[in-house]
Amino acid sequence: MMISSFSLCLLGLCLLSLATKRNRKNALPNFKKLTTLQTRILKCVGFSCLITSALVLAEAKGLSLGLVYLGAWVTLAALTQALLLSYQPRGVPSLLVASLAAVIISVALRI
Amino acid sequence: MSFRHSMTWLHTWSGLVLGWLLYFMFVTGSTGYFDEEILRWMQPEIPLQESSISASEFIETAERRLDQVATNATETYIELPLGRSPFFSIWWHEAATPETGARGLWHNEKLNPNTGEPVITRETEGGEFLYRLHYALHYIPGWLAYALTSLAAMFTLVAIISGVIIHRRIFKDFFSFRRHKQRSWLDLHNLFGVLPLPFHLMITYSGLMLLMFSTMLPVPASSYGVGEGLRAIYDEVFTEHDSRSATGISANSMSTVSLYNDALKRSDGGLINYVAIKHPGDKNAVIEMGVLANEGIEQHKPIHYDGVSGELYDPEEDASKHSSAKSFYDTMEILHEGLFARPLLRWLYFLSGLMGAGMMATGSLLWAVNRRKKHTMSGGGVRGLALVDRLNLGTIVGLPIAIAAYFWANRLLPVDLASRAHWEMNSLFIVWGIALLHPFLRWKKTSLKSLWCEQLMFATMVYAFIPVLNAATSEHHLGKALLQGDWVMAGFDLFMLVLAMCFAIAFNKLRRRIPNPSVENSAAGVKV
Repeated sequence: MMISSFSLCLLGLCLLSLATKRNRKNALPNFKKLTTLQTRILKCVGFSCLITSALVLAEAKGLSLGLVYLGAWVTLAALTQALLLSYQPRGVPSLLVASLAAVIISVALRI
Repeated sequence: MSFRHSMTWLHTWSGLVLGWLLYFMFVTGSTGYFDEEILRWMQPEIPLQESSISASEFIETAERRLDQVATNATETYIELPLGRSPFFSIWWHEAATPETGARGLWHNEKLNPNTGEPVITRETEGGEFLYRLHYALHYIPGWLAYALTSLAAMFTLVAIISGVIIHRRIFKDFFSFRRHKQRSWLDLHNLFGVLPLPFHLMITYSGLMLLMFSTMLPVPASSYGVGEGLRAIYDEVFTEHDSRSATGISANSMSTVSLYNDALKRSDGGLINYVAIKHPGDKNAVIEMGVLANEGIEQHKPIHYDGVSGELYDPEEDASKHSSAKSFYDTMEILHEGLFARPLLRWLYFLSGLMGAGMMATGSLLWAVNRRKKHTMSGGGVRGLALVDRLNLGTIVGLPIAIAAYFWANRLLPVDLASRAHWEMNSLFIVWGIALLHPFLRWKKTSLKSLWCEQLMFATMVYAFIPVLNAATSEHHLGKALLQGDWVMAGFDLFMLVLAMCFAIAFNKLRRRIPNPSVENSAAGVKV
């Protein structure tokens, strides 16, 4: 379930980055303004993905090693996000779609 | 002064005062995650395993060699080239003999995985030296090194916590790196600090804790006294208890290979990468099979056997149970050392460590950039700033150059040189000394930008030519290693090329972007 947990981290951080106004403006310049409620929903779903990733890792690797992997996955996913937002911000929606697809496939295959 | 201002002051100075030492600790500590791989590269005499050899054959070969060399051993250890370990080696311990005054010693031999013959390798400390540097430093007494590194760990912990407090928009700026703005150094510093924040907190807290018995001596001394009392409690807590001592009565031991096969079945397909025998040939012999753990944060889940009957044996049965404080200490130690980490997690540990080094480097550069701006506006003196600028360069780029020099020395120093390992270590510090002196010697002749470019170009060259050096001085050149699937040798060379590329990119970028203080200061009428 390592790929599932990493994809969930990536998806969660994509949603959280799109929940901030400046990042959203860079990633989706033509997108209409989100309401406060919509922004909160994005944040809630984003954090839920991170929490689910933690649960998946704890189930697969045990609590101690699962937490270590969670720290590592979040760092790697956040670094990917930061690089993308700095150098290719319009790639964030593509990463969002790719990570969502990866979550669905990896959960189905239990990898 | 408001709370946030006082925290900013604390963050700045706790980070800056020992910033260069912390950078050194992060860089050398990170290399420690690949200490065995580095040692493998630094001992190119060890041949690659040419055909598939079973672990049973390895054990039989190793036992034959131990029968020849370790006749009086009290403990033997066979390291198998499985899992992460690239070595096939044997270890044996000979007890102290009070009559002759000889001390108890561990001996080690690396064996050729194809023939079982001992391999004579060059004298080197390998990656272990780099790993040890991050807490024991070099050329200074251990107590002083522990005090300095412990103090540095404390300063980092303070800097991290105060950094979180002063970072107003920690969530909003979580991913921000505005590379073309004035804030780019601050953004980069924040990214390196915030993204691996759990790692930074864990590594500094656990580092502080691992050294507490050296640096916070008055605490245990107040309860147990000094001298014998303190020694006794240290032995009780930290020494591995041998619940079975040797009887002196000889007995035939079970076949190690049959116990290995039994352990293999019990380990559910897990790898066994060492076999240890305590009191070989004695009635109380114990055979330990080092099964690599598939879960949890422990590296091994060893299986113990009674060496004579072959029955399972639980060494913890008689040993005193660990307190929760000791368990917590052990957990933090395991997390800090990361020995349990498989390749991917190990690389992420390494990456987080380098980001820690990046955090310290950008912090020092940020201080210099901000101070320069302030001085340019006020027109004040910049003596301290010039010193920081020079030390920044000599440390941030100079240290990687010095580490490359350590690898170069490994291949260029004569194999039979006396104290060879020491000269390899000296090479690192000699080259680092030159790199530190370089900006001081050339300061008046050239600009800061040019000095950075000179060192970055030199770093690019020394790292780019390491694979060439390897090809010229060993049989394991990159092409051959790739063809043979020798990922340790190939990985080392490839990583050196990646580092060379990073320095080359930095060289290109900085050539255009680093502000030239001579020009800036002369424009502002300030003498550097």
